[in-house]
Amino acid sequence: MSLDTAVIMVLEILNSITILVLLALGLALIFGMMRIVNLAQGEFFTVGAFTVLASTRYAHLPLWLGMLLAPLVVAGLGIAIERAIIRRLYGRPLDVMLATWGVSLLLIGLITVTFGAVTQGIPFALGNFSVGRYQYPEYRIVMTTVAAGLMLSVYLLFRYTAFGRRARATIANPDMASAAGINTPRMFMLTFGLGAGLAGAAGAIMAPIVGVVPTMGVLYIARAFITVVVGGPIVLLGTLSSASALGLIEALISRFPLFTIATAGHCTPPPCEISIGGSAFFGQIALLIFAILLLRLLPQGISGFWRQRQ
Amino acid sequence: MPEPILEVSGLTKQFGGLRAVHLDLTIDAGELRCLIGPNGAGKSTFFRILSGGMRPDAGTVRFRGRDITGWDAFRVARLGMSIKFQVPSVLEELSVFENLHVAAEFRFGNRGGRRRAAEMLEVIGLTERADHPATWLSHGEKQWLEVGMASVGEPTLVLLDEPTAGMTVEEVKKTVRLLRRLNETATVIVVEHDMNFIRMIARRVTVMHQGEVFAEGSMEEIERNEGVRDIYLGKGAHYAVRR
Repeated sequence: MSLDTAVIMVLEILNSITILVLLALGLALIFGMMRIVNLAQGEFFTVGAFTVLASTRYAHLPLWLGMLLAPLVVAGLGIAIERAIIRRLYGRPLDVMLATWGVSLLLIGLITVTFGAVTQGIPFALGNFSVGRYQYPEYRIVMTTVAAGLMLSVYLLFRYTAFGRRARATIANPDMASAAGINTPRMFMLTFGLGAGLAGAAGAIMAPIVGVVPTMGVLYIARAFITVVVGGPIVLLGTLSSASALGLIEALISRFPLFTIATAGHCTPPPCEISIGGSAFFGQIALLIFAILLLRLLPQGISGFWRQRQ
Repeated sequence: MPEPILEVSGLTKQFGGLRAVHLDLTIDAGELRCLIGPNGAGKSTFFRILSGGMRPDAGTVRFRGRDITGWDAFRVARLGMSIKFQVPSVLEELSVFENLHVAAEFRFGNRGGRRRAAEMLEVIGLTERADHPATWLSHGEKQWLEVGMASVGEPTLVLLDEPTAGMTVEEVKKTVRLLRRLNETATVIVVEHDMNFIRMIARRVTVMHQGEVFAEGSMEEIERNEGVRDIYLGKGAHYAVRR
């Protein structure tokens, strides 16, 4: 493999990891820490993307401003949903799933009514840079930088600030935290809002590279849940490591054909065969299979395995 | 004449057809009150209601002259009532220091809380374990950490639910010292089963039975009381001789 091919390969892997981190980060707080199975998480992502669409196309704001606005809008939406619905259902996980599924359908409906069911693109000005014989989109580097920044900020926030300490206390043991003077309902609300805002940020950042359509959240929610579940109980570092493992597999299989299968009958042009691997479709399949294998071998997730070895 | 710090009147909690708590009780400022009674007497339920973890069906709780019935637990805590639960429950994910810091912060702020937490580490003798996750502590150490968390916010009233459960004799002695120290600045109510421990600390003892106050008095009076002996000391005499 020549050097430029190797560099592109590394960038592709980095990009797969970036997308998984972006998708999973908000859910890592809401599902990983708070144990809320939020089926509307995909729509938080969608609302983030549509906030960018609305603010650039209709309000004629610059793209970067729309992208800053999106997490705020979605965090506000998340806080409203927590206060109105989820707060009444803590300790009733099945009811939470049903309720958030309802929220998800409602949001898809509202967005469809407002913006229409068509797929829309968001134009952006960045171009490509060259790596040897290849061209690579500059925007992907921006995405990786933002994802790394978000991940680091969330880690520092939870590890070193008073908010983070109180949130960890609340999540570890709500009764005890409340007895220690922490306003636990407020901490739940803020943590949920933060998780929603991060999903909104992810939707906004990815909006220019994906089709913006009301049902787009459905495409991403499964991968978000898989990444968080494979990550295991040490939520942030676990999510980062599972995103790395799954992203690596996804990028490799997307790029390299593994083998070919001969197909029956006639076809044009010959030879009649299907290549397994070497496309994004097989990358996704490989991701799912790898996740299943990982959870079979490490039922507590990657970070659960670390903890067992301690 | 000492001021009452806690006035409980007509406090009632039902679980299905079972009346778990139905009592009137007054605690004066500065007291160290022991609350005893057989299992199921309603002691822990009573504590949970006092500290805001559970809402009563009827009755009122007045604390420092304010009606706190039905308040959220964190508001009760901020008014100066702290609790150590029966089941050892420290914040497992946080470090020992962070446990204390969090419990001091609402009162003294971030910096002040940090200083108080460091002082409390000395008092409970866990300074060397400050940065360990609380989940690594032994059972006895967790109990002390909880006592520390219940006292670090300088509360005016501390509720301790079985602070010596599962402790060795030496550990119990250390807990007695902690408790005496705590009582210098705060009113304390202790629920315990260990009669030796009660004898070491008790000034005034309240006996609960089937959710109600059954008897109240000095330890000698309580031990002489035949009714108490029937419901508790008689049947439960092995509590006293076991250690």
